[in-house]
Amino acid sequence: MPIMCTIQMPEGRSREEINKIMADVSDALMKDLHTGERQVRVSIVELPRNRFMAGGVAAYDMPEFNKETGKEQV
Amino acid sequence: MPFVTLYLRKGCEDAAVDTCMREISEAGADIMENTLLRMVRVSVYDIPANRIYEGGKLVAGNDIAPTVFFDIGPGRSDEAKNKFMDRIADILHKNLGVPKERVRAYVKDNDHPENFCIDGKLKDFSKKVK
Repeated sequence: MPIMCTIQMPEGRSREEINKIMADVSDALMKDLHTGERQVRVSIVELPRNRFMAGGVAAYDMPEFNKETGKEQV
Repeated sequence: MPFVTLYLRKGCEDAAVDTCMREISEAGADIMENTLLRMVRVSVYDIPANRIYEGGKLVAGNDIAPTVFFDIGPGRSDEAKNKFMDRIADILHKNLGVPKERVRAYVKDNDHPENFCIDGKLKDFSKKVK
């Protein structure tokens, strides 16, 4: 398992988006680094929206992370 | 970058954690050279009490045992990093009641800035933003 990629982001993306990004990142790593089989691991860490802040803005105030669930903001 | 990651015992009040994150963001922009508020990222991991160890043993009681990781790109002074870590300890003490001496921080300097990109473009750390 020589190549490990961890992606950290707020929760709120759909299952389909997460599955696609894992597949796309894996494909890019395998293609561009010419890896053999079973060499790439991709992990996505979803943080609660009230535990991630970018530029002083909490993820619960970021529309792109509130599309799927429509949950009431924290 | 700069990225601040906090590991806290689960159970801290959401509002207090939120305040910590905001104050840390603002302190980073205020203290660190060449750093704007929009550049600062703060993440918090809530760790269950039965998953925190010291000396190989579970930490007893309600000790919040915060750990801070700070990833920072080049162009910032040791003085600023020291001051920022001190300010973070102050913020955690004020908002979470953590004894300042219980805050442990690790600063990880990015020694390979050529390996960092924003939106697919290499970050130019020589560019002055303030």
